[in-house]
Amino acid sequence: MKRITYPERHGWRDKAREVGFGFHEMYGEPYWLDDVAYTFTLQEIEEQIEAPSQELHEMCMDLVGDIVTSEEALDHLAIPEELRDLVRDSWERGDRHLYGRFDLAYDGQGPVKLLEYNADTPTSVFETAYFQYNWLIDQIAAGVLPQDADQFNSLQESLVEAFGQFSKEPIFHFAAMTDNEEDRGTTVYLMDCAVQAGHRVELLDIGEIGVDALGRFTDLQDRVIDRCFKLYPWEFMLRENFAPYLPRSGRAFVEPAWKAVLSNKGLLPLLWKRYPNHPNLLPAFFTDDPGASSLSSYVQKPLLSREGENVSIFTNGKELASAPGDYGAEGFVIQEYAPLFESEGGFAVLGSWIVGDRACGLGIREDRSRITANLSRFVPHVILD
Amino acid sequence: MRRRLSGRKPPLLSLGTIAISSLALAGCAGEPPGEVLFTSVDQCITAGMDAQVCQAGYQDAMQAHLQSSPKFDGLAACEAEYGVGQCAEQQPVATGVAAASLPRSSRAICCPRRSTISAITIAIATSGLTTALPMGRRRSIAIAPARRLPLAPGQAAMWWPPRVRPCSRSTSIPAPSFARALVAVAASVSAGRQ
Repeated sequence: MKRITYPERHGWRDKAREVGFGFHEMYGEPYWLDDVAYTFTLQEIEEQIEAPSQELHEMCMDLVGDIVTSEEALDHLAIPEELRDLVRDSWERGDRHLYGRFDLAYDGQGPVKLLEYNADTPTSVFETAYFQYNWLIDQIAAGVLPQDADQFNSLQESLVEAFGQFSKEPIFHFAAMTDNEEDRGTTVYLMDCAVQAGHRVELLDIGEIGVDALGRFTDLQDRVIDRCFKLYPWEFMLRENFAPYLPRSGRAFVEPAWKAVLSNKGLLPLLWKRYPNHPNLLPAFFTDDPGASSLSSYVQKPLLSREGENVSIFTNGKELASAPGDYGAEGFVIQEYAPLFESEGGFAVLGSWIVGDRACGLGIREDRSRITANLSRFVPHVILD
Repeated sequence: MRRRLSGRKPPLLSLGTIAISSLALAGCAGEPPGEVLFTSVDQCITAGMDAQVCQAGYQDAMQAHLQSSPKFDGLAACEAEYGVGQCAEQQPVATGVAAASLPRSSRAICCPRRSTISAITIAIATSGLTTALPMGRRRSIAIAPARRLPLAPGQAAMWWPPRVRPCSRSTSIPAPSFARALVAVAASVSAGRQ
């Protein structure tokens, strides 16, 4: 793994604008970097990223059944009691899921380490699947990269294939916070993949979903929502005013309710307990576990948190970095600290994608902070031998 | 042969863009329902239609294209008819068999790229509705008959002039009126990035 500077593509901002990728800049800062890339060898991708990601996903899937049938585990994950049947039933019924993204620490040496599993919300899917791929073919066409340059990226065709597994009969609704450009763009991209798989689709704001007299979710035309992609985390859904309707009608959503147990930092200690000393896992504990005090360099993470909020890093007992935020009420986990790839660009986290239970793509974000947050930048990658 | 980890074809966007909002379509009071046809999103927008409405029409047309366009067993067969670079591979769907398990030749179903087919025609139906309603209220969506000839770059596409008259009496606004729905956002926090 190396970080290499390249000439940026001529007119790449126009290309971004043409496809509606307006959030290549966010919060007044560049988000997409066109003039730099992370390079890997094929062997490095296959052995250090693809195979471990596949194995980690299988380990997670193997654990879900145990978690959803254990009140103790569900307590630890702060899944509300009245909605545990929803979570359990969705797993036992085998409700179909689409995707997940592992955040991995890798500094070019030794095995990757799992930082967390974003198993419920798809941040950076468009950048990874579409814009990054076009960066590769443009740079090959421009002679900047060799003809045989490659990328770990079959993300879009995997998504189309995965959408194709859902019944075409109901309208596939897509719900998001549509006033947020990035959320909306990400959702419309996935909607596009669904169209390519042959679905009839409709976009609506998550706040526009209604409920009919039978407790079924409805769209703006009062049609019953039978299938709904949502870019909205389960931990929010389980705690909102319409949550009482979820047991009746929550089956409609993709990702399914059982993803609430994977997209939760409480997964990390449960994985470590099941697979102690696995080379791709870091020691992790709930805060009430005596093992938590055995770590001298560790990261404290809220069970439920986004954009790195309320994460703190301690090395040798001293705070190295911390991020403010509004999370943490449900409790924390402690995970051993793993250094990230560090360069003049900052600290890089690997986002390794699973679609349809298969590891199929990589997107890398870097941040000036050790805690990857909302000012992180997306950097394309390329496989060169 | 060296294993490749990228997708077999560059990804396409059937909607053309990810910058689409939840919008509504409304026609003009007293107007009879009508229909306008375009062969590209740009053309639709240029004619004064709402961009999002054009995209929605395109979505329907694209889906119809993917389902109805000629299929070839392999890129070479497609390119023999349509020319080099004019074809795209399309994943078979709902086969129940993982595509990766099939030999390449059996999963390479090719069809001409959308940009080379003039048969992708966007039909926007209008109605006499006076209040803003969701896009799904479009009364009908029609797809023009397929014309199985690729267009050369820059060649003017075949199109049908709008049969819809403007609702405004002002001659300076030659387009039908499409009102944007007022989107009530109940929640106040973004799902955010993770």
